[in-house]
Amino acid sequence: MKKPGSHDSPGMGGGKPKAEGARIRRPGGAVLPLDPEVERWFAAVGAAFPASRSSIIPMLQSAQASLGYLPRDAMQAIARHLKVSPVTLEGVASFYAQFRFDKPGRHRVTVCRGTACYVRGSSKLMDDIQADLKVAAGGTTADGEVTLEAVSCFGACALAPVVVVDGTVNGRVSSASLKALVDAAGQHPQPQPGRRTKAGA
Amino acid sequence: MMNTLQETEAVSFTLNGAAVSASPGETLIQTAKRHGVEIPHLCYKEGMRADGNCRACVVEIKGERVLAPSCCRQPQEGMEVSTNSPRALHSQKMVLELLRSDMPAQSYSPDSELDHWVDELQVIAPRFMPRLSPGPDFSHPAIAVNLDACIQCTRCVRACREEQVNDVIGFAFRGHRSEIVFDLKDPMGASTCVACGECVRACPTGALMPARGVGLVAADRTVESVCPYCGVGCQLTYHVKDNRILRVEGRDGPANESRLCVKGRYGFDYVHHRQRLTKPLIRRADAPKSADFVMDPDDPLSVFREASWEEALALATGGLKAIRESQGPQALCGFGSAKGSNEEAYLFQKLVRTGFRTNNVDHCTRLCHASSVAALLEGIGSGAVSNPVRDVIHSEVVLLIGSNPIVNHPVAATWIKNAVKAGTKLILADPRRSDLARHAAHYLQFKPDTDVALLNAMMHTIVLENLVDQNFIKDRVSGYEELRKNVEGFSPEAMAPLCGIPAETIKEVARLFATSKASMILWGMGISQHVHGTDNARCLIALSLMTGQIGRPGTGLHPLRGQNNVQGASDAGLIPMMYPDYQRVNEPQAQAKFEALWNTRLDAKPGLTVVEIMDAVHEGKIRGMYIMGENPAMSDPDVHHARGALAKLDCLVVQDIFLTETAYLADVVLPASAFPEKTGTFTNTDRLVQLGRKALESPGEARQDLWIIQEMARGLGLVWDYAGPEEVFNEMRRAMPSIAGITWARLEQESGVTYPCEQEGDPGQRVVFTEKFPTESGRARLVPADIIPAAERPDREFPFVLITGRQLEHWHTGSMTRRATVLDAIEPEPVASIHPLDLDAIGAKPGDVISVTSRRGTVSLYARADDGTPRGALFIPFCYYEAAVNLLTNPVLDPFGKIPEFKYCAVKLTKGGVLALRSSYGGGQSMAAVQAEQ
Repeated sequence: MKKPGSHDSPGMGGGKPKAEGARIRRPGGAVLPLDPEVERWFAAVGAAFPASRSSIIPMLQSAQASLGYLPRDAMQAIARHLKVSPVTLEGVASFYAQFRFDKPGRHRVTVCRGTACYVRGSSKLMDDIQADLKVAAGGTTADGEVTLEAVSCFGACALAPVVVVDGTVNGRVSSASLKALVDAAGQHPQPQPGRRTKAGA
Repeated sequence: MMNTLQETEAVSFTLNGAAVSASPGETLIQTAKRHGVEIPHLCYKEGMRADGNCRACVVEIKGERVLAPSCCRQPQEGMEVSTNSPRALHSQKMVLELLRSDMPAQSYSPDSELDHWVDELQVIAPRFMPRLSPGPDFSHPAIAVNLDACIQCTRCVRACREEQVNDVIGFAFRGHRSEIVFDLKDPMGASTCVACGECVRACPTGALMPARGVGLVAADRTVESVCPYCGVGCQLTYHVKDNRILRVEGRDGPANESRLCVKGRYGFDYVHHRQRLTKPLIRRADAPKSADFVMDPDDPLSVFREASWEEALALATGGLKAIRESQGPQALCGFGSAKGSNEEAYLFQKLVRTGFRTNNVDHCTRLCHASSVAALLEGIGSGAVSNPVRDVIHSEVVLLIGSNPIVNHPVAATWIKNAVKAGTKLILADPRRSDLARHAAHYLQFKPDTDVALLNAMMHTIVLENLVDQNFIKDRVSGYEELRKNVEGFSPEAMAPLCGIPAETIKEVARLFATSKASMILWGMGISQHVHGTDNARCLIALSLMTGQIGRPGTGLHPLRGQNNVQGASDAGLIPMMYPDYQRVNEPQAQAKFEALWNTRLDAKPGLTVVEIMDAVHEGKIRGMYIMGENPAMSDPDVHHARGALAKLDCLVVQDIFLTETAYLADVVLPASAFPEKTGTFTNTDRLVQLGRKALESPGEARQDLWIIQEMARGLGLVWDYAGPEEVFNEMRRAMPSIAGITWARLEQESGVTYPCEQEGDPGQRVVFTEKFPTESGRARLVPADIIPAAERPDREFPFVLITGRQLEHWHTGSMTRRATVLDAIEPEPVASIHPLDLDAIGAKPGDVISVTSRRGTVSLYARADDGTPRGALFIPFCYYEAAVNLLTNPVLDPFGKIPEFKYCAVKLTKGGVLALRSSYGGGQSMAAVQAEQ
């Protein structure tokens, strides 16, 4: 006999009895206490936002600025404060590329894939760094150190190919120099203040 | 919700070369349909707001550069529209081909609208690459999600957000990555989805389908009926094949307009449960009765033996007759049920009154709105609602107090949420914060037990600030001076610390309520189930009367009825102090009327109520009982006491569809028919009498309840021969002026008629008390109320307040819903909702087992964190046999309504405890078995 809830007929569905989850809380419902970091942000900043729909984006931005991303608890806290449904918030937040839902790595590496950078070999840069860090673009390394991202253009095409590491713009980057930059960033537990460099120069 | 009517005159234009005329406000697609011209459409659905996103319905309008979506375009005078020009057709086909290219090879739905239009327009096989398809989501017990078939028409979003206003389904991400999501992109089964199923009904392609393939089987026939659960009275259609209900769909009834909730849509398969009683049972001589029984409904033969109907009926009637002869009529009593039809209720009370010859007949109304009805009869002369639920759309302000309709009256809650979206201000007052709080303009989380303080403080403000409707008082109300003097002592400042609501807030909502053009009050058990339940209701009535907020659309008083027929059963006289239509048994005129009608002598002494009867059994005064469809062994307060009473009876006859906890203590058990197995009328909370129609044959030797009551009557020496429900209903019309004008033929034709309907042909009055109140003087009476504290306040030993009630998925004592596959799968285990900080204080985590103890008993169950429950209180639903919360409740009664204080008693909490072994009747488990077979 198969386990309850197993499915092999396509399109049939009918989930397993979800006793474990149901016991603890109504599925999906927000329940205090929230994650302590979210609580701190909400008490210090979040609670002061006026409870209207126009606060949605400013509040999302505030939470992300403070927490680095938008954890579930933050979304729930915002939804409850603004009296909007979680899905309304999800719809807004997921629309904008600026909002993150996963905890970012301690360091952030952004490879430009704009036309100029592409012509100057940013694809290979990306392939190599992905292989090196063992993470796909958009993801974070398993140790939580580095988040690798791709963007369409930094507007610094004269320096192509461009890679931004922890806010520092690096021009004319090669695979080797990028590895060195990432390794160097890893030496510091926290991102270092940004400075424009020309790594290849 | 449809396009606003801007034009008032018909518009003439040309459609495919023919001259046509559009009704005012009509869109092109509607006019075309009326003229027999079908235009393909997907995101458009009749009755829903047109969205115009799919572009399958584009038409060509002469002189316009671009094609127009006919679902959101209204015609103009002289316009020349072509629905089938080469350009329009090309575009329509292209849309369909593009959508088809993303679809899975095989459709999930036999009724896919996309497939229909693809066939209709003979669209060629798609030439385009399919998109990357998301995987299926089978996390929900009732709904299968296959977003690979989703065309993003947003019909489900509109159903969830705009109709049911649950706001669970939405549209997330952007551009080609757009997708339908639940909550924070959760699996549907883990989301806050309440499984109303409205999205499934809306979906045109089968991306959302009933789970486990139940939407794929074609029905032999359909039967139009009513929902068997709450008092909202939603009309529905059974889809039946081989004497089994396949599925249920909403029907366009006055109370629901095709909407349903999870119970109505998915809670029907209890009728096919293996534990249905199919043979009469007689208690074995070697099976003693005890209040401490442990029952196993899978093994009835350990306590009973099977018997023939002749033997069982002879034993049942013989036993009762012997008691009547030896102890007198007052030693007998009967409990009917608000789940039965009007005809069953009427015959049952007639049997007790004329066959038992006592007025000891009652039913569960005693446990729900008895106090509301007492206050309403005293104040305005009628126990029924003044305005239907759907009148909230005409209200400027709605005061909802002591009620959680999202859980208990889900479809009524949708009308309230719709009204809020349309601008009605909701004042929600409830010690437990429900999901409706999000929609409220003011949410008052007042302390449990302080209703009178809060409401009197509101009235104090209304008097002080001259917001009283003096004309209304002068013309239609008496007793104002006394009320005014009484509320003088209840200033908001003095009451604020008592009820926990700031004085300013109390004043603000009082002003809002008093000064609005139309304010309506709806309430539930939070008001009625207190020792001061009648006082609570008196305050609400006074609030409504003193502000003149009654007698017009969008105003009035609406106690939301719990059971599907609690209104009707009460109307039919299933109460100890009244004959049908609330004619008092101790009024000689009424007595004479019914003696003539029933051709018998009647007892003038009002009978005992539900809880009083249990006490009388313990005192040895009552020896025999006939129970039809009630389960007092679960639903009475201090249920160990009630079970003791049932066990003590010399003769207990129980008529039910399952071996309930009550039936377990019976001498004779008579197998009855389930709701879909019989025809009868049911009266909803709006006073709407509706016809429930037979869809199935009963299993085994289970019989129609009307037949059983008649056989019992014959055994007791009565000569009854009703051919069926119609004949009973016609006798009721003679006994009850309020429904005298309702004919059976009209019920069959219209499915529902609102009473009062005194003459044949009366349309029925949806709003009553427009001119006068049905009292002797025609005036309503204000009755002041003082603060009476709950009978058992928390103390050091028992520091928590216990609140009981219901869950969305489970009906009352759970005998039906815990045997319904989907419902049991969603809520399989007993849980107590507690504030997380209180849980923390006893050292427990969510999901831990806790024990709850009162002066009367202990239950152990799982703890669920719920910060909507106030600190210092906890909530437990009363449907769980293995953690029967009524073992704890306090049987103290409101002096007027005789309703027990289910909403307040003192308990203590401890971490740990021993859970009862069996934790289900097997509804959800039977689903697991079905899956295993697949």
